Amino acid sequence: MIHTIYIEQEVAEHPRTRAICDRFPQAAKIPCHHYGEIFNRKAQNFRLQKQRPALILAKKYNKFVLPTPEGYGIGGRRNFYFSHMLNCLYDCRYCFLQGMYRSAYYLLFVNYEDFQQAIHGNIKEAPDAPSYFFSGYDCDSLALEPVTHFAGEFLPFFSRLPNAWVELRTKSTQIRTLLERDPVSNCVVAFSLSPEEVARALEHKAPPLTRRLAAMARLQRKGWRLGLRFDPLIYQQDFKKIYGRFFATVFAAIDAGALHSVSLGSFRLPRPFYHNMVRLYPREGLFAGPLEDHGGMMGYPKTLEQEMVGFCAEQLLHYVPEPVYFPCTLAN
Amino acid sequence: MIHIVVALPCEADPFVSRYRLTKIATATAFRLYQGDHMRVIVSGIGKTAAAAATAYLHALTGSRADVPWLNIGIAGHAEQTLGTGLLAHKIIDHASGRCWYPPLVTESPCRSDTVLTVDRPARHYETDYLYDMEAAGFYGTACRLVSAELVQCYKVVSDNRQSPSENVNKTLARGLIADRIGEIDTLIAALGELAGQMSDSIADPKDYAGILARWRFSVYQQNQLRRLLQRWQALAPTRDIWDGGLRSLKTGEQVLAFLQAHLDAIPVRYDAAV
Repeated sequence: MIHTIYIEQEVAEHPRTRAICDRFPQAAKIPCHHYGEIFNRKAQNFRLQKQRPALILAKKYNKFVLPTPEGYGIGGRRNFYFSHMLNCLYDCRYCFLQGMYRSAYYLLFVNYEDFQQAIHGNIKEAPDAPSYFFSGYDCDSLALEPVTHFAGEFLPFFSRLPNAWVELRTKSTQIRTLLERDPVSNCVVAFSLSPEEVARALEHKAPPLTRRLAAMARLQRKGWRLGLRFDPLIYQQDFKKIYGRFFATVFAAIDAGALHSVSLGSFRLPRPFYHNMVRLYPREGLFAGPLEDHGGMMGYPKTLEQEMVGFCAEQLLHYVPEPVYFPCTLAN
Repeated sequence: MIHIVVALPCEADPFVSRYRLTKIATATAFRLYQGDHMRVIVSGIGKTAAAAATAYLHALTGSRADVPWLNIGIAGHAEQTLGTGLLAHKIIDHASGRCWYPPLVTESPCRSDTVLTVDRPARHYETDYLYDMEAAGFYGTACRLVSAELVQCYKVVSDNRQSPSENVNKTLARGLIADRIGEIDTLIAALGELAGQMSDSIADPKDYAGILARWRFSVYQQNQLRRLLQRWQALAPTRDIWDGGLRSLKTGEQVLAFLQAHLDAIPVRYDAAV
């Protein structure tokens, strides 16, 4: 799966680096001074690299934990995100990563201990208020678990922090690490879901809806707290029929009463990312549809967006109680 | 089309005979051979010459962004067996310390290694890198011309501690390259496939040239037209744009409005696109 591994000199002897290199004995191991020499270089093509991404093992030095954008949350007031990895195994056409980064290589920061120390620091700033930490903003939290052991390392850590919550955001069915241990009561395993038609057309390389639902049902039976993330909502003709049928399928497979949270948000992208993505995929249907610029954020026309969000919210509230429903209210 | 940069005429010979390339007499600065799908330029020895030949060929042939570039040549290595073919996964310019990391995004027909570009022939192999004299000049220049994935260096080991560089002559160099031509073919095919995808991204949309020839558009309007036609191809790939009254329009502005109105009416359907 991984044919080339770039290794920052600084982490060459890190135990996590060694373990990952041992896992891929055939991969070319290429030393570098700083990941930016590879990841940030100009004149790279994300689309071409996505066909066969390499892995970069690096050290992160600062900004381990950042506040989430306003309006992004699942009930808490102190919301943060952290990214142990940049880029994703999957190739979702709506994903902002392909518009944000020059390289499609997987960039893994192996110094997990520094992330954990920073999380500790954030909690200490307000020890009495619950803090929410979102993983999976710049990558899928579980998709590369056999390589990164991210969940395996961070779940025991968070289980010792009763006033903190962690969200693992994923489309993956790599749930063995979770099934092999007791559920962590302050962890939400949040699955991103789209109707089958959308997933087939836009979520390339991701597990199909049915397999994601099966993984969710297994986790729920084991006692894990699940979240549903219907974000982004994607417009197409007959979207009401398609999303209505989709929600029925989802809630037939899982126990809605046991859900931790449900959120939704319409498709939107910062304008520069959108232009980069159009350059990569000029004939992609998603970008050819009805999109408008709302003050630097590309999205569906306001009336259409309101219609979609309104319809989906109404549908969802047939299945889940209002206290667990969190629409994404990012300012456009 | 692929562009190959070699340092020596004897390194070009295997390509000239295999691909029936002909010498281009109008190329005066460097010796240049061309066939239906390949151009081979002979740069001369050294990274400056390689950089100059690369830039020259690019300018001479229309400065396209979807042409792959390959530097092929012989190189020394302390331990590797003579005749081994290796792709460069890292190129170091010995003089400046600058590094490049060619992205290896296609299935590779061979192993890869680091190439150290030196300014003078290396008699002693002080590292376990490949030693050459062109890769850094070639790569640093070619990466300014096309996306890095389309630029690769392939080296064949010509000398090592057991067989020093003094033994290398034209006949040996020609033979070493000729012996790896199968591997090089595989590499060329893989790069060609990547370049095809790049062409797909940057190509003018269908009917763009036809519409430009018929109506006048400002530069800004040309960009608008390009995007509208791309959207048309995405949403209605089988619908002929000329059906429905386009021909009767008088101005470019009317054409843009016509396309916008038709696009707004086309339903988005992902199930149909599968």
